[in-house]
Amino acid sequence: MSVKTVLVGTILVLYAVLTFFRVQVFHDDLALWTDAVSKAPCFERPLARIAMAHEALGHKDEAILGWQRLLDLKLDGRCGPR
Amino acid sequence: MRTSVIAGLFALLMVAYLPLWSNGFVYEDWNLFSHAGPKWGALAGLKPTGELTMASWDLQRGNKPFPDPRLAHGINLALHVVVGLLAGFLALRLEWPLPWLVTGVIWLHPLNVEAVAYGSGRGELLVAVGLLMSALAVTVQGWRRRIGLLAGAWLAMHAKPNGIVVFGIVPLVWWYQTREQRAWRTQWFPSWAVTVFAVAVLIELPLVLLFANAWNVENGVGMTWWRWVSSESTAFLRLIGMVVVPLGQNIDFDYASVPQWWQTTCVGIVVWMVAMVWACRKRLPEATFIFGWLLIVIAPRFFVKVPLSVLNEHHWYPAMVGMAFWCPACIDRWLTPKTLKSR
Repeated sequence: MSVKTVLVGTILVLYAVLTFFRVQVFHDDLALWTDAVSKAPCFERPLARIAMAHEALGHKDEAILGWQRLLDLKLDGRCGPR
Repeated sequence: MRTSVIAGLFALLMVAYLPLWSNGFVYEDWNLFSHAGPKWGALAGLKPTGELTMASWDLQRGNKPFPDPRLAHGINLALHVVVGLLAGFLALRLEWPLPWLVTGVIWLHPLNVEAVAYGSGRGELLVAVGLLMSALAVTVQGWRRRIGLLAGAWLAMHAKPNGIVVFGIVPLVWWYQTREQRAWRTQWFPSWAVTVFAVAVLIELPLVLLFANAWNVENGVGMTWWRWVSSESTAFLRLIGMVVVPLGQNIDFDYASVPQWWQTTCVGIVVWMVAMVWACRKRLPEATFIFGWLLIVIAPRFFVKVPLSVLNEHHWYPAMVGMAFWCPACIDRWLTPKTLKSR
C-alpha cells in the first residue's frame, strides 16, 4: 500500500469524523441554531430562532433571555452600524 | 478489491451517520412534516416527486402530529447511498480514474450532511438521483438510454424546479463521452485545479475568520439583481472552498455581512471560471466536465432570486457530485504508474 493510498484513506476517514460531528448539530432546533450563532454572533435570524426554539420547548425564561439578547444586539451597536 | 473498498466505505458511512438516528426535526422540517403546515411551501405543485416520498408519512404517523423522524432520516440516507453508487457507476462508465473514490467523497464529505440530516434536503437528493440516472442513460444504448433519460429527467424536474438543469447535464455527459480523443494533459490538471481551489479557499477563509462577525441586514430583503448575483457568486466560491477545507459550516451563513467589493471580486472569479471551462474543453476535457457540471447545476440560482435563501449547503448537494469527480482526477497522476499516463 503506497503512501498516497494511505493519504487518500486518511482524508476519507477525516471527512467521516467531521460528518459524524456535523450530523449531531442537526439533533434539534436548539443545537442547530446555537451552532449557527456561535459562527455568526451578529446575525439576527439565528438569535431569533434560538428564542423561538426555547418557546417551542416551553422554556419561558430562556426564551425571554433570547429575545432580550437579540434586542440588546440591535440597540447597543456592538456589531457595527445599522 | 473494488467490492471490499465499497463495503468499507459503506461501513464508514454508517458510522459517520450514526447520530442521525437520535436526531429530531429542525427548522423548516416542522412545516414539511406536519399535518397543518404547507408541505412544500408556495411551490407545492412543482415538487410532486418529493410529495410522493412523503406519502408514507400519512400512513405511518396515524394520529400523531408528526411522523417518526427516523423514517424521514432513513429515506434521506438511503437516497444518499443511491447517489453515491450512481455517481461511482457513472465514473466507471466514463472510464474515470478511481471511481470508488467518487462514491467515497459523496458518501463521507461533511458538506453533504445538511442535505441528508435536514428533511428539507429531500428535494436536492432526488434531483441528484434524477441527474445521475439521466447521465448514466447517456452512456448506454437503445431502449435503456431512452427509458433512463425519460425517467431521470422526470424525477429531477419533479423533485425541485432546479431539476431543469438535467437539460444541461445530459449534453455535457454526451459531449464528454463522444469528444474527440486527444492526449491527456494530466500534468496540467493538478496545477489548474489547485489554482481554482486556492482562490476559492482564499475567498472562504476571510468569510469565516473576519466577516462572520460583522453587522448585517436580512438576506434577500430589498436585494437588487446585482447584489443577488454577487451574493450567489460569493456563496458559490465559499462552497467550492469548503469542499477542500470544510470549515465554518453553517445552516444560515450571513452573506449580507460580506463587503460588496469582496462579492464583486467573486463575480469576476466566476466569470473567469466559465471562460476556463470553455477554454479547456479540448486539451483538458476532465476539467470542463467537472466545472461544467458545477456551473450548469448552480446556473438557475444566478437568475432566479429566492428571498432569504442564498445558495446554501443543501442546495449544493447536486453540485457536489461534480466536485466528487475532481478528487480522483487530481490524484490520478500520483497513483497511476507513469507507463499508463501516456494514454
